Amino acid sequence: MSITIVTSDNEQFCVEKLVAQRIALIEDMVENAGDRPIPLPNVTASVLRKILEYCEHHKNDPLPPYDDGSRSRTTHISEWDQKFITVDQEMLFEIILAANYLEMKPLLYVRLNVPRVQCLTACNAVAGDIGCKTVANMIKGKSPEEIRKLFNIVNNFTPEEEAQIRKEAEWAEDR
Amino acid sequence: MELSGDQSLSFLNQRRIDLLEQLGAAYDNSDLAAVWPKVFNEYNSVIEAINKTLQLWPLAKLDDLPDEILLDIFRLVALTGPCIWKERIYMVLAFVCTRWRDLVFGTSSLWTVIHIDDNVPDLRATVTLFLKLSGGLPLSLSYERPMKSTHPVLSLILPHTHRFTSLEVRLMGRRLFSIADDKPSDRNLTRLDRLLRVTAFSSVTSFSVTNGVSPLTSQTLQSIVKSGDTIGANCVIRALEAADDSPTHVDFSVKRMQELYRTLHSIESISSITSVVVDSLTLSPNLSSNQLLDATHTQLLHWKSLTCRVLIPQTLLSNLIDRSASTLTYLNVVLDTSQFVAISLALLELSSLRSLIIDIPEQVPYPFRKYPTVLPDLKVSKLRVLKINHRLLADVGLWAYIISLLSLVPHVQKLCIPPVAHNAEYQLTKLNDELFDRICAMKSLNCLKLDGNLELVDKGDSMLYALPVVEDLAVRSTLHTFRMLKLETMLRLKFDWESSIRYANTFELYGHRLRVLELSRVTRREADKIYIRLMLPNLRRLVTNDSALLAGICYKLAVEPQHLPALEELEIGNEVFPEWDLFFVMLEKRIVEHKRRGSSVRMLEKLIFHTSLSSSLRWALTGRLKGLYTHRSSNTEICPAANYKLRLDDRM
Repeated sequence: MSITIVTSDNEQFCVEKLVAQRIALIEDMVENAGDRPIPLPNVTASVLRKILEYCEHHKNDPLPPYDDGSRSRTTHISEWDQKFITVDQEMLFEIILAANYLEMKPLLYVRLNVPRVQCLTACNAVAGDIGCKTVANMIKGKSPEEIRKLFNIVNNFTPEEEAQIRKEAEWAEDR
Repeated sequence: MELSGDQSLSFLNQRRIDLLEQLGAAYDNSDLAAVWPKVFNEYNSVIEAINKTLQLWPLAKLDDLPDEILLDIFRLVALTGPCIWKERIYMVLAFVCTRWRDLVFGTSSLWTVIHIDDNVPDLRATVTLFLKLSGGLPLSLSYERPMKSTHPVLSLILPHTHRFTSLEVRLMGRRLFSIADDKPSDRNLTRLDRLLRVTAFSSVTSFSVTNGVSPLTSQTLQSIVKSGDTIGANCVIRALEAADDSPTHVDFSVKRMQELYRTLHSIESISSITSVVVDSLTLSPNLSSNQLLDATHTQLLHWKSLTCRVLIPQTLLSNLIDRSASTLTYLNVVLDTSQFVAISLALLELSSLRSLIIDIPEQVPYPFRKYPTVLPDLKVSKLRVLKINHRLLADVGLWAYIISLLSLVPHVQKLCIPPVAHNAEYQLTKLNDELFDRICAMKSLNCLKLDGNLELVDKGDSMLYALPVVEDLAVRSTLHTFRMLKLETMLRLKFDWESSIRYANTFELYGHRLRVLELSRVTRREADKIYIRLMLPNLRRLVTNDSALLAGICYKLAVEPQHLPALEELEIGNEVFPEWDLFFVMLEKRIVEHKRRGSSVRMLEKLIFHTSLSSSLRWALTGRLKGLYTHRSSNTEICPAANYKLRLDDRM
């Protein structure tokens, strides 16, 4: 059985239900939508294509356990995931945002009656996990200036704040 | 509309081609001068439309990520450094921009894990910072050394003990800290739900932290206590008794196991136990079986897996197995051959068992050994994995036992048995023939690990033909007994290739399906030049500890980069080094071949060394593999995809 998804740029995707069920938001919507296409106004076709590629690859994976925030996490990314996430920065952030929007966590926790707040926290913690880990790996070991350059972040500290930062940076550096 | 990079360009190009086609149909192509301005006008209008769309849909940036995702990234960044750097990493992040600063200093949850390490120069200031920024949230505390009453941060911590939910103590001294040892009123650890205690100190005489903890709700309790520490068991027992919600997994390492087992048996929720006793065989724990049997036990309804890594009395073992018989699917035990009788009786009841791994320690010298008896009928029809590991050669009695065991488990898919000792007193031929028949009858065998057993049988080829689904084969010194044709069906193959070149300087191996090949060391012809021909188009992983073979393969790959086109992983064994010049030539040529248009050759993605390399070599390799190398001890796997991984040698 398959379902149809329509992206923000009006592209239609026919997706196997087993694959689509990896996406919590869609699983929610399927119940209400019936046979009608499911609109995803916040996701473009190129991003959805990537996300479906991920879901297809992981469709037979066991559902991840509920994360109460205490699980030990690492920044390790599996080989396939690493290849999957080797995209330009814009696409990387698009994927993270889309995964966040799509609540890409199976609905295990809803079934377990975990409060919605906890469920969303768990979703966010894992939805863009690979993306977040990739960004974290890009950040690690870099100075603030290098981070700004890498991600094109504007340094919006006032001159006074900047001076204070330099002072504190020296303090931190000495430690 | 595709918005990013290459896709936008390709869209534009396609649009341009479409327009030209449309215009070609609409206009007279003979007058190109009249056509081109119209083409350009339409083309420019498309670009304008795209630009407008791009403004409507700006490219995503890091700044677009919501706060909670950005915080998640911050946490992950902090994970990459040692605990004591966490605060410094957060400081660096706070200096990027005002949004990041506000997030870092305004998010209490970032500051709730406190690691006390006396190596931090300004420990007091750091702890103060964490306590202040963490607001009133629950705290996790870990520390390495005993905190005496004079410790500079103790006075800071004591007022916050009610916030501790996790306590990790790597205790090297007598006391935990004064909140636990001295003043009951200070033991305000009411919210503690996780306790990890690691100690190697053998003269600890009291440990009372759990007295002040009620109840522990942790699902996992760990205690790693070295040999001689008799307090560890008490600690675990008290903690378990206090744990009303009952842990589901217990990982312990203590000497006094009898009390521990008694307590464990009374907790029905436990589904798995890993017992590691640091003692060697001669110092095996002094368990009192009577005590154990007299204790009030409940049925261990939920046990699925049982791993005992030391030899324990057979009564105790049988008792454990008896109590978990209905659910146990995985059993890994250390057995002396004299204990086989006891285990056989217990095995009778293990109807759900899927995996049985028996490790046999070094035995008493022959002829003082007790031989195991032949098994009665077992109810282990579900058994799929049978491994009998023995450091030494199996004696004849054990060998006979294994053969009788095999007849009872015809559906086993994975079989691993030790080699038999040569002994002139016994007629091994008959036993080997029996073994051959038994194995040939196991039609479901998919993975067969025979460590040299077939050297005497010399019927390997027939055996493989009798076993149609074997895809994973590990043998030693026996390849000459197998026809290469049968090896065509293998997916994984491990063998000592010495026998294959016993009579020639040529080593050839053909296998269309072969994905993994492990070749062990050559002892005879190491100095000789060997012609190697590996026709393995799908080989992904090659493992060798043979310098001659490695040199041959490197040469072959350097001369013919398209050789072994699917090879992605090369593992080189301990104390073996390639000829580096040749090795780098091979790597370079492989990269060039990989990048050649239309080439199906894959780039080497992983190199695994079991020996530490000099920094210059590491950097050179990192460059060739586009990976980041971080210094580790031996067994470092360089992987451009994941930057680096640590891979442990099985022998460690």
